[in-house]
Amino acid sequence: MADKKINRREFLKLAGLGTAAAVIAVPKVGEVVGPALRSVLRGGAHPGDTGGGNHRWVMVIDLARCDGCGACTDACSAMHMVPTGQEWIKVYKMQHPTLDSSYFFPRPCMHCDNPPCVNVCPVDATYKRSDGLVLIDQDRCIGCRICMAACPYSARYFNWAEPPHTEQELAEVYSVETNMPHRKGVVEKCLFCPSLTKQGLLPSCVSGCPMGAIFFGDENEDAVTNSQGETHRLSELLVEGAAERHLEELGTEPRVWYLPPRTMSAETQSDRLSEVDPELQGQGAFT
Amino acid sequence: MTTTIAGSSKNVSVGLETLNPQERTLLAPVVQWGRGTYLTIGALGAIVLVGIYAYFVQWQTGLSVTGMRDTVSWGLYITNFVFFIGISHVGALLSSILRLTGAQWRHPITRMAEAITFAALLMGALMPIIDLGRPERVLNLLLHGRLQSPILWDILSITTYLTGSTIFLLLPLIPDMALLRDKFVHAPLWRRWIYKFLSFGWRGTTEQRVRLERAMNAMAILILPVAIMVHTVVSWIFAMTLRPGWNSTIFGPYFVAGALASGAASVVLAMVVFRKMYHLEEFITLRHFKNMATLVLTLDLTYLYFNISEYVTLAYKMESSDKALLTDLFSGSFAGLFWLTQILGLLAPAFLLAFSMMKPIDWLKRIRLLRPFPLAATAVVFLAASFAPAFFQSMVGLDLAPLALILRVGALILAGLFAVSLIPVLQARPIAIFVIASSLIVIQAWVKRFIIVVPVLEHPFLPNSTLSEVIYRPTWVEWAITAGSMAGFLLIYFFISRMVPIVSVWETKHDRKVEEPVRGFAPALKQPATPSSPEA
Amino acid sequence: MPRKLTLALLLALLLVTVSPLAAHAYSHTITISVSEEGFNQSGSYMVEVEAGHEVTITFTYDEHLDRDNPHEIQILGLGLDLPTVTVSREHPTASITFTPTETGILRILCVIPCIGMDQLLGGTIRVVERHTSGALTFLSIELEPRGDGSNLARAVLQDARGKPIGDVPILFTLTTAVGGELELGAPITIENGSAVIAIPAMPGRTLKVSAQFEGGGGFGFAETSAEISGSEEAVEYVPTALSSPTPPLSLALILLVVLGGVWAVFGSVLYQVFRIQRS
Repeated sequence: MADKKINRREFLKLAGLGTAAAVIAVPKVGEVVGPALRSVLRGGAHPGDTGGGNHRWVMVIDLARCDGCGACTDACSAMHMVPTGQEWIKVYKMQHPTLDSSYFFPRPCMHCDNPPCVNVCPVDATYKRSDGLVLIDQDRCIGCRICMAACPYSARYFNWAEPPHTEQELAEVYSVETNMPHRKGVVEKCLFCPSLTKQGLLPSCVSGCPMGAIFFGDENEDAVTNSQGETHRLSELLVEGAAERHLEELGTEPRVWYLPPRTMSAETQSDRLSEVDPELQGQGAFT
Repeated sequence: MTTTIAGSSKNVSVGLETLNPQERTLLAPVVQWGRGTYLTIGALGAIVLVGIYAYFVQWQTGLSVTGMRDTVSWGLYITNFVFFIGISHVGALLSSILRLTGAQWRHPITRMAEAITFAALLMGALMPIIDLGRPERVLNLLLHGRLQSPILWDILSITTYLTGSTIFLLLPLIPDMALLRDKFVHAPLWRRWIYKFLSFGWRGTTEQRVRLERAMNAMAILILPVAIMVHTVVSWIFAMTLRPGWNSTIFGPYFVAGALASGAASVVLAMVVFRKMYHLEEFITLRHFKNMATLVLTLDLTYLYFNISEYVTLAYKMESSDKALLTDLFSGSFAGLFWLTQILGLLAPAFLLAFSMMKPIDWLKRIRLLRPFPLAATAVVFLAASFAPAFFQSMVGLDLAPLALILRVGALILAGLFAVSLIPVLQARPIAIFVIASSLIVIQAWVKRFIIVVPVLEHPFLPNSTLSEVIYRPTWVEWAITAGSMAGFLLIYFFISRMVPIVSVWETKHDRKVEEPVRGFAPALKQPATPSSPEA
Repeated sequence: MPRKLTLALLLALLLVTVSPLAAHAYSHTITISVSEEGFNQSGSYMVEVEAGHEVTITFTYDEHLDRDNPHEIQILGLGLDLPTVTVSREHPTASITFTPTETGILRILCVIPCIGMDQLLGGTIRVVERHTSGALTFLSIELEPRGDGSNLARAVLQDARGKPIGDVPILFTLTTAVGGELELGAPITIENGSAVIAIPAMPGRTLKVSAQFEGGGGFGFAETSAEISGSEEAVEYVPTALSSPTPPLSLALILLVVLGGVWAVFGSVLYQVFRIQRS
């Protein structure tokens, strides 16, 4: 029978092995239990960030009014000092695959209710706020870009290099509501301008649209407003306008609704624009 | 007393003279590090350093030094990641499946397979970190990890698999470490310390043997589901997104099949290289090659089956969201790479391996017409000539298209005959076939991962019309880091083969060395010396 | 003397009839602050003015928000050919006065070409017909909370002598969170001059409800508004299981069991190694 007494050398070996095992095993267990427990106890990365005011923001874009001028993009880029190459609201020209007709499609972030980007984020950097907005905490983001792979609307952008800065931008205090100053190596996107909406103002793209094509409002109030001050009851607008959401079949539950376009040739587009407002004839970029 | 090991210039110590010839052969690379060893380490190390420098450049400036942009936001790094995790499955395959099925022939090759797993996992796990925009925040994954994320599942499963593989590499090493501890007395201090530590007091007692056997059985059963889980979870980084091309239910088994095929092929390459480099003809015999070839062929065909399942079902329907992607793959900018992976990467190796295992088709040699070079030359001439009618059409005014078609069909037939004529040539050199087939499969594995990652990203639901944004061209940084990771893998692997015997000494000790009559190989092949020869 | 008296009486009568006109302002002064985010029209994006009355619009340069660019403001539409107005850091206020005759929408634009925001700063003036001439009327509004969290808005329209005006529509609007005015409805007043409308429950919100009487039938325009605070409770938002920061329990348990099992086996294997060491 082998000697059962543990001498010092054996004890050291045992201690060494045990430490090695613990060093490997404990973080492992911790990896699983830790985040779960921590989240339960703290309520997630951004506890209490409800955005205040009990809102559920929603956007409606009237594709029949959009003339593709890109003013929304310019307004947004100016407001957020968006790095070059990024278009947080991007206007696509949707060309029919076989016909000669087209319409313009502004695509902000959809702030989905079943957001694929939030679902796959490994560090809880992008998160869904109770006012409906999907925001990004650039203090947390590790830049893995799986959220960009997951977003079917291509709404997210990455700072591949140090973004250009102005003195003004650097003077801003960082907030998840503005994402300024912009940072290298993290993801950012359209935010539905929470810094403006909490002052009771419309987001930049909404107020910057000369056609009044973009409506924005609080679903809880059942009201949306555009840059012209037109306010509609949301539920009525969606039903009467036969609104749809883009890529509805993917199940992302976007919070941006689209009123159907009147796809048309350039000539008809110009005529239609003048019907909306005679002063606007010839002012759209693509007429 | 000193003695010299055959073929070396160094005098080594007493202990090693008590080794039997087999042990001596197997331990030779471990106890003798010649100039070649240091040169190899130096060369591979240099490439690794270039890779590290490239990463430094990336760290300073940001990921803009790569070719990735907002549309193609994943590129070579993720390709490398999936590739390395893929070939790491070979350890589970050989150590686990073959052990559980009692295949004795696995003994000489389990260690080189497990070492591939270990080295591949290390490099594979490094890749996503290299890809991060904020690598200094990598700890956020542990501190703030979200369990619903496929990346977290990756981290959990890869660290588990790495631990399991390391254990499964170290366990069967114990007796050999003990051998080195006892015999390799003149080793440098740091190596002696490693041998002492990793032998865990092994003395070869019955109790120890029993425990080792128990431990290895437990690991064998466990490591296989873990390996399958790992690559399934890696595939889910793609399959859990909504993108056309990734939004597929078969990604799990598809990736696992590909991993096993590429892993098995890499072991065959390792077998060939080590057999030559370390003179291991006695241990790695034709029987091993033949068995591995069967395995590689089976896995290759399985992976081909999954490829067909995936692409044919999509192509039949040509759903609009898939259309642009499939057109690009089949006939567009990725067509070259795509068909390369399918034909040269999967079909050709299958044919090569199949022919190598069949009985020699001798009657083919009797057909005078079937000579490779004339057939190949004629086929090329026909193909070249088939472009001429289009050229002359404008002059002659007749419709010469049928002539071009006839010439092309002729070229195709001649190419087919050329392939047939190669059969006897190949059957005479089976190991050459294995090398070619396995290399093709491993290269295919890397290219195929690229084909899975990049084209899908180039075709999102809302495409970008700015071409420079869309077309992905990897930069020198990405190539350098890729080369560095390959070199790093080889460096770790080579280093392991120089630290411990790459063929397990104790497991092969009692293997029957009598060769079964090997069917299907041409008599021209050199047979290795049998143990019944007079060497003591 | 009777002639003088008649004259005085006539004058007094004239004054009395004309004074309601005087009581309602002829010109509207609107202050609009200008910055690169747009025109801040003191809470509402649409300013209403009356046709046929002089309007003065004062633009002020908002130093807090702006980035030191001048703006040249143009008001377009309804056949008005107005000169531009420039505001900048040096000239922070500028006004323009005009009288719109047609009803419709006037647009306010900045016409300096810059990074693409020229012509595109939103802002509108809506010109409406209002019967400001007419007898003085008074409108009052009360918001009565009902049990289920919704409110009842009751407006009462009276003339100058306090007599209720029945059978006329009262337009109720809700000021939304982004400064829009949502039309809730236009119920007709009943005999006692009151009109009611239900405001849906919006917990945790201060509601500003406005009522206005357009005028007509000899009566003049009147408007009023009231605020009521909603209950303090926030509407709870339940995230989907996959998007919540907390993992669903089922997932956590599965991972724990599976990985725990695997690591337990690793542990037992390491134990075997330990025993090999020990023996």
